[in-house]
Amino acid sequence: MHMDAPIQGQLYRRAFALAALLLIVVAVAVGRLAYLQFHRPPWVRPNDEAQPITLPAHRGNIYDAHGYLLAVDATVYDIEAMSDQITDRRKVAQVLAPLLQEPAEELQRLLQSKSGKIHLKRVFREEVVKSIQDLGLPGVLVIPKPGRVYPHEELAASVLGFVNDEGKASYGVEAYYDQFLEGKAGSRVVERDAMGCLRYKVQPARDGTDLYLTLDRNVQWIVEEVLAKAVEENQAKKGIAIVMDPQTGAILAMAVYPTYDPNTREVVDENVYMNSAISEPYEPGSVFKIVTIVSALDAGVITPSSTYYDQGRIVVGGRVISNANEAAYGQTTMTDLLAHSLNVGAAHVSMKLGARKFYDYVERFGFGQLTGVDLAYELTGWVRQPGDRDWHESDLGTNSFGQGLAATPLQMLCAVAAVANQGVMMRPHVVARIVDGDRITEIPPQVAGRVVSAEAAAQVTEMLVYAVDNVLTLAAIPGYRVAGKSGTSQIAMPSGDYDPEATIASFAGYVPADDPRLAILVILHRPEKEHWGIKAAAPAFREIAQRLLALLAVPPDQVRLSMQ
Amino acid sequence: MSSHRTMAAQGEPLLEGVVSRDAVDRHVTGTLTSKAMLRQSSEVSPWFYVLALLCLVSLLAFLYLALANYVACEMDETAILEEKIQKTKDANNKLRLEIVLKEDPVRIQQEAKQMGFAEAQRVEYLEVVLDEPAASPASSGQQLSVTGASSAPGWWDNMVRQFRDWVASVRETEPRDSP
Repeated sequence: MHMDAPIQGQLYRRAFALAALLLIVVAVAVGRLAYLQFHRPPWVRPNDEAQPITLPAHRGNIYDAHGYLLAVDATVYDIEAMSDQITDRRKVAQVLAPLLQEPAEELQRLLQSKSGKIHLKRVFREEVVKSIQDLGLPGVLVIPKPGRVYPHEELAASVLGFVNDEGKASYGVEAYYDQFLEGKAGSRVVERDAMGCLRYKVQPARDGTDLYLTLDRNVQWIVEEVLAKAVEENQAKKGIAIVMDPQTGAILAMAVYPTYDPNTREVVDENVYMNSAISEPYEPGSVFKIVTIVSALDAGVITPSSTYYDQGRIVVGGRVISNANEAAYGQTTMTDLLAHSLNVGAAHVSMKLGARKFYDYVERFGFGQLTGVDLAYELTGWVRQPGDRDWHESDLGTNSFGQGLAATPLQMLCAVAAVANQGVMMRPHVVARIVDGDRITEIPPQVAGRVVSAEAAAQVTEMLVYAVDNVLTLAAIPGYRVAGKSGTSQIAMPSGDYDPEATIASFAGYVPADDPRLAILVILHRPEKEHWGIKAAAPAFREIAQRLLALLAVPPDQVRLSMQ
Repeated sequence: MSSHRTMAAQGEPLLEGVVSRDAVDRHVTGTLTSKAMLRQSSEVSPWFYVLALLCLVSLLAFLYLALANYVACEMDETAILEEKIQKTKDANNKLRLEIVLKEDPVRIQQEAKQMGFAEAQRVEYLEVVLDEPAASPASSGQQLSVTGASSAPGWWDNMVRQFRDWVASVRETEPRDSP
């Protein structure tokens, strides 16, 4: 009935031993689990549970057309000084001045301006940082931090824009392509599932895409150098220059002077950040006559040899319009009208064309509309149209020679480039391709539309070549047929009247005239030495064109045509 | 004993005079042991269930811990790799920056000037005449014998011709360039 006592006892002992052993194991396991549930595991870093760890994405680099780096994420160094710890401020300023490329007086003024920590300058060149550190100046701090570096400093600043210390992209390509460049930050977060168990959730960072621009670093460098010289020589307030390939709409260079260093962004007036080539409409003046004449030729109301009688004055809508030099030219051909830039003739042509057609062409050329260039903060400019409340009949006259309307420099160059490109307008663009790892997205040239016939465009080209060869000779380049037109416009004051003292001098043209490789626009705001476009802007146009033709290996017409 | 009786009662034949006492005892003992085991198994079965449950829980706990450990190690490794990738990218950018600073046009211009280079004042384009495709020896020999042309090779003639063209073009441009 009962098991033998020894056997039963043995069985119970063994069972208890096994159970105890298992209980110990289970107790350890359960204890460990309980510990892990209520305490942070060793592999979970502090604050992991409180908030996810952000895995930063690298912002994409920006390169020029040939792969030269223009913008990159790297370490920048803030050079700061604890003024209280510096005994000899003058000496420190003198030692730092050549390294920071700042005047010693300015640094000394900064060091004396206030107590505590003073920001002197931001640098990104390692050798400068090393030199400062080697000096061992007491009170001078070098603080590294991640930032955006523009290795060419001021070069193409107006096109590139910048990324500020908070990581916000502003202006230019940086702002326009921010969603491509910035990438997507990843995260690593510790979560608890329904059972209360810890688990990792990792979203890897996705780096931003790289951009390759149509801008050519060397072209940009030449354009900026020439523009700066033109502004200084003519004592102008500002200069703008754009170089475009008229056959593709690719912008090869876009410069504004004065400019700024996007690394430091130390400017007196923040308006300098704006890219005036797209964000500052101006009255283009006589360069606009190209549009008036080619429109009339396309409409068939004139031919290059058509004549009109120039009395030096004409009344349009009750307003008297006269030539810039107040002279009368008598019987004049359209070719001479363009060469001598006669306002009376332009008004005569626009009246002959009629308001409806004239403004139709103005719209076709894209004035009053965005060009669609891939840069941030482009403006449309404005053109008063018939039917608008503030349009007046006299506008037809004044608009014909580029006054009473506002266009951005890029709009004006696009119109000229359309004439250069046999009447086909291309959409301007600055990004040539987007590179995302192995995936390359080419941005092909886009046709904005045909604005005038190829015949009309060819006729105006010949007229413009004639103008440069005979009147606007300061723009002529030996060996090349240059088509161009100068412009000198008045500047409207807030009162509505024109400033009698100030002008905007400009020159637009393309070269070689029969197979244009370069369309160039140079604008000088308020030049004091020379007020006229032909004298102030044309030499800069010529120098830019001449140097770029050599750089791009465009042979003289004779050589080029003989090769064909 | 009761079992023996039960078996007798059931009429199981006992071998008369042949069956030994030992055999009977063995039979009785074996029967008793198996019965006791059966009873004992029904008595300890809850313990076995507990033990089995404990084993299962232990196994699960072990698996959980092993998995958690594995995941943690993987995550740690991933984090290390991510850090390495970041550092590599930073290093790449740093190198790119160094390269572009070496390629800086201003620096190149300065160095070129120091080396004695100057900007070209005039660019001249020369016509480059490529060698015509080489004729077969037979045909060229025939041509020479017929025309009696120079025995100099074609590339030499081309070079001489290009040099003459260049001299001529320089002479043409000289008056225009002179002040």
